Amino acid sequence: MASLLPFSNLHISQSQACHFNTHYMTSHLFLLSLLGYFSLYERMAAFSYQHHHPLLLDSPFLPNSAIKLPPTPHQVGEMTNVSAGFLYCNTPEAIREASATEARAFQSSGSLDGAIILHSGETQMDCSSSVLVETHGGDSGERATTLQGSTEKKRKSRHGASLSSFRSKDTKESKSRKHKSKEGEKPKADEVKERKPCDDPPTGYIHVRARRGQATDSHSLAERVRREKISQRMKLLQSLVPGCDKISGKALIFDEIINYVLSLQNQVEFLSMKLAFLSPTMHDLGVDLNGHMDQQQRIGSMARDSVPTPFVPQRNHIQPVAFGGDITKDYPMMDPSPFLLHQQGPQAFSQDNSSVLMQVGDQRQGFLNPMMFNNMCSFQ
Amino acid sequence: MSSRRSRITEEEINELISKLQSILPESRRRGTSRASASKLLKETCNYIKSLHREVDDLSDRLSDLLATMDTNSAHAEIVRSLLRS
Repeated sequence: MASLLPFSNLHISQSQACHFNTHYMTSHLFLLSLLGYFSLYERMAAFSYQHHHPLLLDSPFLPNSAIKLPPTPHQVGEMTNVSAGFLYCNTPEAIREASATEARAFQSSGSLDGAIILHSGETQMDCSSSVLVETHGGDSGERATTLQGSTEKKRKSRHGASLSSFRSKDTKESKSRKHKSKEGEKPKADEVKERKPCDDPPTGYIHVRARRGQATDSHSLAERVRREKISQRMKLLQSLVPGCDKISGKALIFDEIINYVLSLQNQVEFLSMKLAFLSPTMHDLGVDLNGHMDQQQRIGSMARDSVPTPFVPQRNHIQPVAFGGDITKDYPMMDPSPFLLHQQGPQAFSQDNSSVLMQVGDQRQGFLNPMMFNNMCSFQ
Repeated sequence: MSSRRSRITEEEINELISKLQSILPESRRRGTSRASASKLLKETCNYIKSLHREVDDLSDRLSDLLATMDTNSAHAEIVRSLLRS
């Protein structure tokens, strides 16, 4: 996949690096490229996380134009446009006003679709989006209630009035001018305002309001709940992964997330390798090296299958190379030391680290020995 | 959006989801049966956050260690050159 290109580039540099003999510069170049890749992500991570656009949740509501009310198709079309216009009205104040005026219709119409109100009391934006939903439903409900009472002209004018009222925020005035039953307005507005504070505290689960023209049986409702949960989590992930906001399309986003997780894992391994490299003489380890080696080999193979490790897999000489009595102790100590270093962290990390360190240890044995001898001795 | 989805088939998405599942450390041990996408996404979120923390912690430790090390040794010089690049 094209989106996996950054990682394939990394692989290419790996293979290029392998062409050289195992010289010091090989791993150096390799680490350089790796560092370059990490620094790219670090730079990206330096950008502040963007919070959700408060109206991202509105998008699922937008295509809802299938309205099946008794009124004439002409009116339906008009209502569609109007409701689409309602949905675009941004400010929470306007939304509240809108819901306040439409709440009476919502109340009176009772069960428009017989569904539940969108709570999801996670953030304020959800509250406002829930209000939006009510607005939309309430709008059509208003139509239904006034169908019997008023003439067509009155309904159109009310639509026009409500539309302009939403946009200009002076709902009550225009309503009182053209609306017949003004008395129903206030108690329902109060109800709505009372209801809104109730939306804020988190309920712990998500209610979904069935949209017009959509099936209301439990299956599709549950399905919609599930899908909205998923999209919420995806948005959260998008905010976590740098550069993911600009990508659209589930598969691409997944691609990016996977790449990011893999690179983060590599970064962790890399850093822990460096750490172990820096502190080769840890405690006196009474560890059974053979047992550790086996475990490391197994985990290393697992890690290698799923994680593209940046290091050349060399499992040949894990046994301590006999350079001298003192030095022999140091090299084996290098490998298991991350086990102790990362005891606090999650087990997976230490396993990954140790697998990488096992390989790196091999490389280092190959070329860094001449340099490391004296220094390793000095660390004792 | 739906046309784009038909190009990127549902199968590809499932494949990506399973790949993500394989990456996460939790699902390696248990049988890979938790195909619930929302749970997976939540675990991914937590995993990324914990990876971030791990990276920060390691970097801090590394910088501390580097500060306390003998700055004249060739050993330190190697490491510093690596870190600089």
